[in-house]
Amino acid sequence: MNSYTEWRIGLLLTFALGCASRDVFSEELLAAWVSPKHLLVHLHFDQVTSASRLHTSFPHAIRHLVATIPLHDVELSLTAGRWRYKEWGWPLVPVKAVGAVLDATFHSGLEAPILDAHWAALVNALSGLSCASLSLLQAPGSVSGGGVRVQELLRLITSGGNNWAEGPIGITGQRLHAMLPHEPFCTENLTPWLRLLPCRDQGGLASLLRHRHTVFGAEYVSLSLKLERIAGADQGQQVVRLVQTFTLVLRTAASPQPHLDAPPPDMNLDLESILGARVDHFCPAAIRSEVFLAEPQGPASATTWAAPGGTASCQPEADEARSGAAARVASVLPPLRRYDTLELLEIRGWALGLRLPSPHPQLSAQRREAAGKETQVDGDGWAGRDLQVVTGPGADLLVERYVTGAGLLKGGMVLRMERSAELRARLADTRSSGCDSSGGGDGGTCASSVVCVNQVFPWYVRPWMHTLLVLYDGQNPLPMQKVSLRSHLVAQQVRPAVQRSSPGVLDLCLRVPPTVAEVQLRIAFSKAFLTVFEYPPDAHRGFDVPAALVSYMDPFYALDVQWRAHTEGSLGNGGVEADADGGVASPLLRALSRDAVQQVFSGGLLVPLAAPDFSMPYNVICLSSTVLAVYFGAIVNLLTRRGSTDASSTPERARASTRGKVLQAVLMLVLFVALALYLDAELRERVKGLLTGLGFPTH
Amino acid sequence: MPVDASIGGINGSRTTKVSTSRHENNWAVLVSTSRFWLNYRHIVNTMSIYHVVKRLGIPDSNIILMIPDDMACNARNPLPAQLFNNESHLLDVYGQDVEVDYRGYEVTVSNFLQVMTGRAHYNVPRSKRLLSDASSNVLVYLSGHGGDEFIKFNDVEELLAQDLADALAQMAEKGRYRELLMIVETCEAATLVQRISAPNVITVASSQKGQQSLSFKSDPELGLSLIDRFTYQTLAFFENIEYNSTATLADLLQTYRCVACASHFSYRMTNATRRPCDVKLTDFFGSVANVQIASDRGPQVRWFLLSVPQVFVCYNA
Repeated sequence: MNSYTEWRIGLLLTFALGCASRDVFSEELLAAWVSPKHLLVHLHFDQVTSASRLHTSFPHAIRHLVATIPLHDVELSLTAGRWRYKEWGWPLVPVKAVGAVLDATFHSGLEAPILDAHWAALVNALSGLSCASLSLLQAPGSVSGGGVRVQELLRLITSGGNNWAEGPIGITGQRLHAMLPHEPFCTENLTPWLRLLPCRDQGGLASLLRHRHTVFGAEYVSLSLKLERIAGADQGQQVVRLVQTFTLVLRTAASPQPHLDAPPPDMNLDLESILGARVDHFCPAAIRSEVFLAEPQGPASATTWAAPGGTASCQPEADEARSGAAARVASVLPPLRRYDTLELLEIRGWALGLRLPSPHPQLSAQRREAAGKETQVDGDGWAGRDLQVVTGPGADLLVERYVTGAGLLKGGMVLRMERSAELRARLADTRSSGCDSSGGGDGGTCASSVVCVNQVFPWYVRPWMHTLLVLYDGQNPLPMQKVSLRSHLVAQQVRPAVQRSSPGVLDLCLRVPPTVAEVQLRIAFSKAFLTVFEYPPDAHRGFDVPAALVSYMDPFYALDVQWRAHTEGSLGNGGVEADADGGVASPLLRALSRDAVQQVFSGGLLVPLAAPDFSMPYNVICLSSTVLAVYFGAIVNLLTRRGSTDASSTPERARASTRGKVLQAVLMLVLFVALALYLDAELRERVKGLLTGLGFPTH
Repeated sequence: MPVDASIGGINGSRTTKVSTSRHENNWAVLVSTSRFWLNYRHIVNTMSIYHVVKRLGIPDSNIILMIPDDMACNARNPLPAQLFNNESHLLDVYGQDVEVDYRGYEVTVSNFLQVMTGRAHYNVPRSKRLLSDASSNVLVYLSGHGGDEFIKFNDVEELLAQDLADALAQMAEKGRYRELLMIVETCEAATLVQRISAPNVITVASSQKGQQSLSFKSDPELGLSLIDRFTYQTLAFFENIEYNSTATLADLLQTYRCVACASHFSYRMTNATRRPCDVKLTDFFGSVANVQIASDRGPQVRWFLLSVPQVFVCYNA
């Protein structure tokens, strides 16, 4: 322990003396229960460097990447598994689509071929750095660019500007976006990612990932690498920040309990034994290394904001709204218990020894009524009523996407978005208090009732825009009713696909009144025929359509949230206060309190396309049948053809014509036998063997 | 069991190139060419050899690993992030820090030949290139489905024996290897390598023309065969080898005689100056740097970062 302290003092002194090392590394971990059996573990590693060549801990490969490619920022994420919104509620940390997602913003003013060259260099470099097959993205057919960033659009609407020509505000740059929905995620992606950390997985919090079987046996695993270039304090100084995050949701083995309200006694609550790995050493390069454990909240502190029926029946006053907002934020961002890794290691000597708070299962009043007499048996054999832990709110928005239609020529896609009652109540409230209550028309659009959908279609799935149907749900008991797109469309950007060159992008922002609970988007598409060399090796599996991105603005997240540290004695409502001073500076916490724009990725979509029969026997049969058909056709045609003279032909001419026919038949036979011998080596050998057997010399 | 062994290639007409360059480093190109869950064993074949070469010292920067499909984290795999060679599940060949260079659809004949001949696009990153030179020993391992003079790549392409021979001839011309050991585990593997005429190449094939390379016993838990017999014997042999072992290629080839492979393996050495009993296995499968630490450590200051002791590093295969 002494040497560790000396290491830290040494490093701090080095910084103080302004030596060449200007690399700052910090690591944090967040653990929270998302259900009685599922634990969310989120690791956040932050490295900042201002040096250009001499590094103490920042990876050289990343610095070189930033130096050679004109990037503002790039984010690569690899995910396996889906976030179950219904069971786990709203995610504390950003959740990505399955597979690989790559987002890069280049400097503005680059011409198209140069931009393509830089993009190709970037994806190849990242493919080597992450051991993923990202080099498939260098084909222009997979990249969608030039789409509007939803955050900018929503901010534009909020700021009151309805003019599209103003252009997006914020960082200007050319944004390119690409997704690989079928990209697997396994140990080989984790290995190079860990190599970018100063202590890899030998020291510090990353050593909790050492048991790969547990990590990749989790129900949701996601890894992300974010690189950004920040303007430094000095003029011309380039500061580069590398943020690496790792999220996993583990299912902890818990034995079934007959008593539903009490937690199982032998439930494993030790973080390190759940993950199967221990933190043995502290990472000396880390200037801060902290662990945050989320305290689950009982139903008493849960939000009671839900208005029945989803309609706001009362108009709360301004300060009530604010306290309600604070309560809402407090329930979403739970109180966190903070630990310092070094202190934990010094206490115990060889491991963190962190005991997680127990996820006490409680039945909320609403759900108890809703469940009624229904019994629900889940995987562990817990027969009983619906168990939901109230650690946070339920999912605000559920997105579902599926393919309709039969056959290999046409199909349809349906995107369903469902808003929870709480969200609708919040939006109704904001609208009545802050925005124009006129709703439609040109009098301005309230940002809280805008929902944006971004969908990329590969070029071989061709949507027909005239078949786009938008359905809102009507008041009960009316079914879904169609709405006119023109009156509800706030903004749109449709970029049709260029065959074999670029995908089609559909960007729609719709005005959805707060009373609407369900929105459906339906579109019909037709499928293209691909040439035989364009099919992937597993063509019969189908073709993936990248995930749709649904964004909306949640006004309560727009509050300026600051985390404040409480002393040990008073925990109270947790450390969430809208306070200006005394805030805790933590990259993870800053990332948790996201901005107002909420994004949800839909699930994957598999579209079966017509594929030829690729099998070798089929092709051989086709070829040989064709040859035989031509041969027999020619022979039959030859033999049944009548000469120009008919009944009055003399015997000599008849014999001559017969001889001619026979000669032609023999010529045809010889030609085809020669062709067959040329094509088929086995036949050649058999014939050679036959000839040798008969005594003819063959070379 | 009779085994076909031919030390062909001492051609009178062609001059035998004696490798005069020093042996400085080892490279390995390990390729699996089958996709789909039912071809689990071909991935495990390649991962077994990867496990062997990593354990014996070749670093990831010197290994090009090509795996066309994800088996370890496949949804059908009940044991996530693990690949086994045996139904006892004692040895996990996947390991803790595997680095796959070419994955999924990137495993194509064109990429394989680019790796071998070194003619890759300038964007291809360093970790995906075979940066060997005339002082490197290169190990190439191919596993998958094959037939008479071809091997099937990623279910849709074929690599022909003539293409492989031409690629190796190019490598010899460009001085991309000092000695090359090629091991092929497919059906009719000997036909794939019979056209190779580049100098200093040793080829070991798991089966002859008309023979299949059979799989080992099946695993009741996973429901398929985990590994092929030839590679199973190879792995079993290497598990008893350490990085400083002096075992020779002849010892390895001897193993195949003793156990029932149900196929005749063969080996061939083209224009090689050494015999199997002269070739040490660690010349290809291992690579350990000989590190000597000098006794004089220089002044040490406890406050700042400790000064690094002087280290002499001699690369010795």
